[in-house]
Amino acid sequence: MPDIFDFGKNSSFILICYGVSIAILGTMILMTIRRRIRAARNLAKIENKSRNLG
Amino acid sequence: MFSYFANPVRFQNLCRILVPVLGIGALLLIVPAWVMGLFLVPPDYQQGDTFRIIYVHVPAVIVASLAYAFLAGASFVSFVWRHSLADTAAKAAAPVGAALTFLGLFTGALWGKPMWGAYWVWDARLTSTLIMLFLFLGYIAIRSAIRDEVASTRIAAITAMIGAINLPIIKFSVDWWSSLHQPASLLRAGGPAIDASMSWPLYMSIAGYACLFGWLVLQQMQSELDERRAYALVQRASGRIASKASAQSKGNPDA
Repeated sequence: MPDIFDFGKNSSFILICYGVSIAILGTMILMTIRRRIRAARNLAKIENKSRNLG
Repeated sequence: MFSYFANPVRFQNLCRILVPVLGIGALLLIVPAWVMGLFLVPPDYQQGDTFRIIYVHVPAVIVASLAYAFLAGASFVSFVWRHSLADTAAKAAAPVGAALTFLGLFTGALWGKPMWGAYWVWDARLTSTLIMLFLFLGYIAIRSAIRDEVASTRIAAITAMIGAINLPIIKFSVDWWSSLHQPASLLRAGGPAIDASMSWPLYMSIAGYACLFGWLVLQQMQSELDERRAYALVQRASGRIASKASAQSKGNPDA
């Protein structure tokens, strides 16, 4: 492990806490962005179709 | 104000300003706060380096409690005034609140092991926070289990409002009962008990988590509104096609 991440005997606890926080927050952000893009794309597609139907 | 922003067009306009501000705010607050917390802040004189977990644990729990207050408030508005936007806000806040509560409990357990010698104790603060996690999960389960939209909205709103009783219990549990968990260090009479060199990154991290919560909720609300609008358009189009077909069959009985 690089020296910068060496926090003594409890290093693993500290690094796991930060790692899990990054993983959970990152997953939430990615899922939210994916849902936003999918919803906006789907709406645009349906709006186009309904406009064509008159 | 509620009725002003209950209009989806006004809400979308507000989102156009708030979403980038909150997103950039979250990034600019959380990343430096974590870097300072991990590498620049001096170790605590009693807990050593382990106290660095504070910068991921405390913001998660504080913002999870705020998320529950938001959920209960939005449920109240949705229950009393039947604002669909308030219901959308409550629905969007629940999974984010659940994830933050889980994160708070998980990082708290990893802090507890080196400090108390145990990952978990049935302490009032920990137990009431675990109850908050179950309340979030219960809200999500009610919303997805009941197919009748009106019934699920109202039952989930009642559950969220009753669960708000738990919020003061979480906050004051360390004062009301003897607890392994340390008492309040930030919001307490006589000012914060933490040195400024350690507390500033903590305030930044709390503000960053709050911005992130706002960003996630607004994005989820916008997605939900788009999905509802798409569903309504599909329903309207299929209704138009069905009425055209029935008109044709009436005009031509052989068809």
